[in-house]
Amino acid sequence: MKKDSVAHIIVVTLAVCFVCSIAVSMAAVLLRDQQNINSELARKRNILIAANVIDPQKVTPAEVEDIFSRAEVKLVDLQEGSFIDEADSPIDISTYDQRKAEGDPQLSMDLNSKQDIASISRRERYSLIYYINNGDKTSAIFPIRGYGLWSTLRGYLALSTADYNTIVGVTFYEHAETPGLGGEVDNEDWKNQWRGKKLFSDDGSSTIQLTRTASGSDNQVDALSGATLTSNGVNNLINFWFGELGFGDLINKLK
Amino acid sequence: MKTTDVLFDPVFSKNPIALQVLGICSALAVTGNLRITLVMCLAVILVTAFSNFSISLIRNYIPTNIRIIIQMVIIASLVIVVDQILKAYAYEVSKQLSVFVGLIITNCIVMGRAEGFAMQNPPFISFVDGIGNGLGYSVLLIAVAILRELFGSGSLLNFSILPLVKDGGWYVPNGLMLLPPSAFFIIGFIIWGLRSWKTEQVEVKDFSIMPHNGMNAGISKAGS
Repeated sequence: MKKDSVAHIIVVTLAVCFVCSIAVSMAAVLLRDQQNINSELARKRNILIAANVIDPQKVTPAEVEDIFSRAEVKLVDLQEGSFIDEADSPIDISTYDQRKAEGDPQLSMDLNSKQDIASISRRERYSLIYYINNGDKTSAIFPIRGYGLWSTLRGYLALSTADYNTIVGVTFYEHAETPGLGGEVDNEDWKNQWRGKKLFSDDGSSTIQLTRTASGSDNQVDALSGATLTSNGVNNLINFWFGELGFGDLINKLK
Repeated sequence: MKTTDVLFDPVFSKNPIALQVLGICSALAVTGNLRITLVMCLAVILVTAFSNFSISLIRNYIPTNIRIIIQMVIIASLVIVVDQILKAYAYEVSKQLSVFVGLIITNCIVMGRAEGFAMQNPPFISFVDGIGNGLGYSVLLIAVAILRELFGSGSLLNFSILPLVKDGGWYVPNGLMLLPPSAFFIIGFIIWGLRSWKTEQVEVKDFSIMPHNGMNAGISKAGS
């Protein structure tokens, strides 16, 4: 077979693609367990960063596990807007996989287009929230998620339990937004401006807004420059998760 | 062609960044912190070495018409494998490197060596050439990263060397060093130093400007 004949080109292309795809899929499959351990650790780390109890630069994995193990985990029924006692809980908190529940027809509800402002299509009925003590202050950490420009942003928002209104911190631990633009949702400096802001406006009618012209008000933070759609996504997901389909009812009862 | 020459020539005499000015974009982006730079360098060395090796293995079978595509497929696969390994064993660093690991695919050094060396040479020497060029890239990046981290953050590998004013020390960090453009200046100075030391690296001028002598000088001498 001549080196530049059509048949030779096709054979070589197929052979190279075959070998390369085996190499790539082997790497993906063999390393998956280790990668899952890492992303689970990153999730716990982000819960602690939101609660402002660790220094993200210095903390070791062992410390993360240690502090996280002392967190109190509670199960919330989002439909009823109330906590579920461990005794009569329909599901086991220690093995509850919220991420799986998001897509499970038994454990989640379909959202219609009017309800689904965060573009998540289904909302699970039960959600875990975390309580972490830091000295005399306690914060409640709520999982949040919603669609940005390219991807679903997943993160945590921590509220002070003193008033369930003051934001202790916010983090996004998983997203695929454009690096340098929307990807700045996990920029330390940007996240730090959330600390101490108020989640709800004084009359309780709206939640904190990302805006181009943040005036230093307690209800506004700077939007991400060059990332309008990611900023809108963050607005929407905060609106959704702290509205009546999210944790809104529960927070009203707790206040 | 001696193996040691192939290995060490690209480090100073034929440095891919300083002489050929390839791979500049990642040199600007990942040199703010030495630890991240070291991981990036290791990734580039691995990819260049193994892409050179595998391309050289099948060099006699690669059809000339589609050789670039075949090279890209091999390089891209290696980069994905490296990216997966980083995600499994160096998760934090891989998050900070973000797109730059993926962008090794477009790093001109990798493809330049595949096309320029591995297509004509046997596997072992190509592998060595890949390591050599990876080392050349690394030496320059590490030099830039040491300067940037030391003067930008007062530390090396996150250990404090120059105590910062904000921690009660005496050193006021240079903010420019934390920003990517500072790498341009540093690479510029390194190239200047390297070409003053090894003068054969200085490029021949394409043309020289004529001396200015009067209004019509340009016209009357144009033909000479």
